[in-house]
Amino acid sequence: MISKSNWEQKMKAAADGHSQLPPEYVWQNVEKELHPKEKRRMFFWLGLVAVLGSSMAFLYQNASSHSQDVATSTSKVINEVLNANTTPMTALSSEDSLIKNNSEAKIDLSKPENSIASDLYAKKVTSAQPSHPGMTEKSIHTKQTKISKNSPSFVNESNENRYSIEDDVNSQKAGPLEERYKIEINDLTTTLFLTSLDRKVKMQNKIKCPSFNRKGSATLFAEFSVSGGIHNRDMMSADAEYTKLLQFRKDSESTWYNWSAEFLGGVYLNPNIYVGAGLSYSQVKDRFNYSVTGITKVIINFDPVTGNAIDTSTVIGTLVTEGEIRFSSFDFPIKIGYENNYGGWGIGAEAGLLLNLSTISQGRIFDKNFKITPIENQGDIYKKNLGLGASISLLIKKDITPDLAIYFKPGVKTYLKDWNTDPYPIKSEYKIFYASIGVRKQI
Amino acid sequence: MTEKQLIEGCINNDSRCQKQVYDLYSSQMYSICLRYCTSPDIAADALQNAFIKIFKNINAFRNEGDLGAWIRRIVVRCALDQIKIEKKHLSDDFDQLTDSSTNYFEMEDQITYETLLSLLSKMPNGYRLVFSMAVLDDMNHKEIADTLQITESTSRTQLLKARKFLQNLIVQKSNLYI
Repeated sequence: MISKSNWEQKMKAAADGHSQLPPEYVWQNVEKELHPKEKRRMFFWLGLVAVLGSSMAFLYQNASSHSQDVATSTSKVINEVLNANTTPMTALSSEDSLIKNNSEAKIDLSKPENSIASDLYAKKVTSAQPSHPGMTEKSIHTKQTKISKNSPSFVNESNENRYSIEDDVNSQKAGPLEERYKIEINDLTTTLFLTSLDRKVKMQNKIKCPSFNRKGSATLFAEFSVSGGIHNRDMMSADAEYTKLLQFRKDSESTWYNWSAEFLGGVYLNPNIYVGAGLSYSQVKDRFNYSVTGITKVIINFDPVTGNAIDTSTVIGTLVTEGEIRFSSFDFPIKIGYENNYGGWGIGAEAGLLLNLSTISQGRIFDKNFKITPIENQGDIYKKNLGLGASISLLIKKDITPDLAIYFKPGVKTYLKDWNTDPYPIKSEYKIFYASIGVRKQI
Repeated sequence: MTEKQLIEGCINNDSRCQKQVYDLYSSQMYSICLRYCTSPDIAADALQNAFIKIFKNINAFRNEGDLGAWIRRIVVRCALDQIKIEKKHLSDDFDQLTDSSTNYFEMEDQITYETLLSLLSKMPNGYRLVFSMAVLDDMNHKEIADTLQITESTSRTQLLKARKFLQNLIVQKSNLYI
């Protein structure tokens, strides 16, 4: 221990006896530094849950409509198969509710005779289609329908699917009033039981119907866009001590323009709705302009003989300091969009969340001592991570080819919090208006 | 909650325990930062960095000794770091002796904290730091030398010069103090 004189002890007593509450923001910053990930994680998981939840909902909805479509196609197959055989047919009995041309037919699933063999079932059969093109519609009687193994295949001209018909080897096991058909359409296999007394539709396998495949599965896409626009800045300070600095900064800084480039990968959940995520780089630019006027030169003329000053003049000049203030950001955007297609055009809207990965602030502005100083030399006055943001935009799309489109998106984006660190007394918030053009390619 | 429980809570990154430790020590430590730093803003930055370091490294404190003293050492180091960040390097001022002839203080019976800060602010950085560490924060010359990255003999010399500087600075109103 170093010995102390009397007055040194008094100084130490003064030092030890004093305590002063630090500013509140100190703890807020400490806490933010110690527990940042929890909040970020929370936002991340909330976003992920929202995206996954909406994806699941749409996929589920899509799966339901897929089942319905399969049932419709089954009905269509029945008609075409039966009409393809020119066997004389008798009138369709009025109680036959399964196959009724150009009308709606229904299967009542509550009736035991309409039991379903597999997990894929039809809730509703709609629009039993008319017969093969060029054929007149005829009444049918299932008991009289007999299709041999050697029945010729035929092509459905409307969709180029090739149908082949053959007897099922197990058909002998069917009762005398029941005919059984095995129908193959590419990789689609359906077995139909038709009886005059009761009618059952059993689908032994999960049916993959090519014409509905596109609707049932996800379509991936990738897009790239560039954008430009203007922005609005709100600059404020709750601290009266910094009102002058706030005014200096407002007078010397003005908004300029912004631009960005974005890559997005996504998936169409159905023909109208898509979700995507990607990476974007953007720059928001402001202008710094400050001018000060003053005497720059004093000219004194002396009499060469007497040495007395005979004339004095001053030169007044204006010192202008100009520069660019630039905020460069990397963001992770997650977007969900809706579009409606009209011919080759699509119109819709898009909403998204932005997770800022990093932001670099550059340029010269007034510091607390009213000197024009580079931002990086003023400590952390701007955040290096802006946190969570949101965007919303309109979408106008034009298909160039079936899987390539160009689009135009006017929109607005903002970050949920201000751009300055807590200790800095002046807070800035930006609303960024942009118009982007891009290209979207389906994969 | 005992100090040991608070420390365990802080090791487990429990924000409630961290807040309690902060509330317990922040005022005292801010006062220390104010002595070392040239402005309240810089002192606040130093305090903030110190508590971040304290909570991130609290598992290094193994209940050996006083928690307050351990925190105090970190706070002093962070205050010095903050001064360096503010581009006021210690080495620049170590041999600087200002003319104290125009800066006299009248010593009262008791020294207030404001008077203390005024006295310290008149001292060159090198003197002020060594004097604060040695006299006000009870650090020995080895600790001062390690912290300031100077030799122990430099530390002794600086303290000697600092005391002489203060003697010159203070006009004795009475002969009670020097």
